[in-house]
Amino acid sequence: MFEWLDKRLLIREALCKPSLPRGRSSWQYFPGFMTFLLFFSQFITGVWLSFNFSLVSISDHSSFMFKLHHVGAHLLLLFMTLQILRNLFVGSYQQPREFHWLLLISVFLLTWFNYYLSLLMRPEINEKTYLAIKWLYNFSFATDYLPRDGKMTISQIQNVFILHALVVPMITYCLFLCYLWLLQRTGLECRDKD
Amino acid sequence: MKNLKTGIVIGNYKLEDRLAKGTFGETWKASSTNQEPTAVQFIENESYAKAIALTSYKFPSTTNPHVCKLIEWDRENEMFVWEYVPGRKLSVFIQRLKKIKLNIAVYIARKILEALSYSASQGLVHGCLRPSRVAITSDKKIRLTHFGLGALEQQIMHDLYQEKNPIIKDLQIYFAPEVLEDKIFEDPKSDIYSVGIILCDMLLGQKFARQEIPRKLTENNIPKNLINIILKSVSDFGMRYNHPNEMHRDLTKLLKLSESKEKMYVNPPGNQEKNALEAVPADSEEYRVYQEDHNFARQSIDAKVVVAEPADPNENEEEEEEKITEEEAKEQIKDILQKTGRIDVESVMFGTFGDTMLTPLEKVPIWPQIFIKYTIAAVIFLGFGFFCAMSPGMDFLIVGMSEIILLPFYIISQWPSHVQSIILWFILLNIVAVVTLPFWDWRGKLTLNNFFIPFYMTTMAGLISLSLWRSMAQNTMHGIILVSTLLGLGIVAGMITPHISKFLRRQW
Repeated sequence: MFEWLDKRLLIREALCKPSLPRGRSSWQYFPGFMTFLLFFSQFITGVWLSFNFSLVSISDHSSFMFKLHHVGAHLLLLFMTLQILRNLFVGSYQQPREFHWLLLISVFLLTWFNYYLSLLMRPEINEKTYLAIKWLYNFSFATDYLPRDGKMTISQIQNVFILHALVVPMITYCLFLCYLWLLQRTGLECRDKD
Repeated sequence: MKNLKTGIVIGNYKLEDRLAKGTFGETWKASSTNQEPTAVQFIENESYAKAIALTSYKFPSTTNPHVCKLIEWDRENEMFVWEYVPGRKLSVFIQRLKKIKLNIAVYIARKILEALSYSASQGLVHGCLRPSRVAITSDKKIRLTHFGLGALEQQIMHDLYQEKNPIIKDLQIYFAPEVLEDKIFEDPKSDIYSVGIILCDMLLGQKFARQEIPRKLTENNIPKNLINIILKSVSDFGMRYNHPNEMHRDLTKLLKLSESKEKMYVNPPGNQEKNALEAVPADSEEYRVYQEDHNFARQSIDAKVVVAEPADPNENEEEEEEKITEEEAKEQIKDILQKTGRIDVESVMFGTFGDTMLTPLEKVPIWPQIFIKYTIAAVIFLGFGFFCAMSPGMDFLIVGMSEIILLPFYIISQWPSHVQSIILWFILLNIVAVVTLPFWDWRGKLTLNNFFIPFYMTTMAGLISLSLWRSMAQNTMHGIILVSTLLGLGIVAGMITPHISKFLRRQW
């Protein structure tokens, strides 16, 4: 069976690449690997939540899938930050890899933006969150949008939901796929291809 | 041009014997008034002499034992007086032998890199390396000649290159493109480029332009791993090894793979513990050439042609003997390889995966290793996520995560508006700087040099002192804690950044 598949899909060829660069199994690549996994897991849990999550109900905030999405987001931020730091320290943004860096940073900033959006997707925001978010939104010049009493209206939550669950992820995932495509083309190693 | 003859006295030096004739002038062996042997280099090329006469260049002093030092620079007679090194130039070896054995070539390259590494530790570079400037001394050591001339010669080469002067046609291949085109002088990376080209010369037996090198190396069946090292050393500025040590480490790693084999060929019996390539072997072709008559080499230098070696009546016998020993050695190597599990250097691709060496013949499945190593770690982290989500007791952690992320912004929101606006602009500035990073640091040197640390430290110190003053006035505890934490983090980050960077780059 395997032989039959291998003849058609060349699995063995793909799995047994002989000329791997040094240190591919190094722990340096682990944050990137985890980022990839977590993007995938966030996508799955996010899609599930978008169908099974009531924006208004507070009890849904203690559901298993919500918590999983929540913890996943924090892990994603942690590993993405590590990945960015690794790229910075390694100097992998140097030419001709400018686009790698631009795409990576865009994905990074969009992920953080989406995280802060998610904090607004609840009917009531506590004071600390409110002040922090307000400061952040001051940063994006959209202060007037936040309610002064910290109570979000349904239409406001829906607007944020569309941004958080549709618009921002769509852009982020597109850029992330572009980044992976670029990586796949140029390879992880910084080596002269001429 | 001066009329140079044996016996005439120029300055304080009496000329004895002509050593070499180069592109820019001649070098003579001379004796000083103290009867010490010296090498005197006369500049004959007009533009070279003119540039040297006009410059106010100060020669660096060095304690490097691997280089040949400058004794005097006689501006009046347009000559440099160097320390005399008895030995033979590498270019002569290449000219005579055509190709140098792989292990010897790697050994010589390593020794050159060691010398360069010593210089780099003193903040100096050679700058004008080529085979004729690598001397193999009579005690079988490698010494770099013309040390200190680099910065001057790089400038001259740059000018001549821009003028498209044909005189540098043979030399320009040893100079890195950034020297000739971008005016980047005195960078250790340019020396690494020259070493790469010299290594190619040794392996291929003749000069080739940079573009032809990959093809020629492959055609000559040079091991893939060594090709990779050479290509990295002669690649563009940004992609090249950053330090001679990095290339030295890779070459050493290559030797370690072949250690068992090299011992067979190189070391005499009974001396197995000695490093395999610490000496040029006494029975090798290189050593025989070295032992030959000095006049013979002089003839070839003067005539600028390769003189065929005289036929040796005992040659056939020697060859037979060598063949036998080589076959025996190969058999012994096979035994050793089987016993130790080491891999033959000729067949090794330069891939290592973890501790596994990859060869072109033997396909090693790699993905299982990734799965085992990464999946265990991923399961630990994801399991932690699941555990947090499952157990109600971990709710505090889930809430705490967002609190920690929001805390800095909450604290900032408590500060006066002018501090807030400073921080706002600081963050904006950082984002712009980070996004545009590849365009203002295209060589990827940010975390390696000192710019990053003072910039960040001063900016942070400004912010911190402002906020410290404010929180002290308000007597707010969290402000003080945050400020001290930031200060501590800033200092620690400033201290460890270059080290982390160097460590990670070495692995990359």
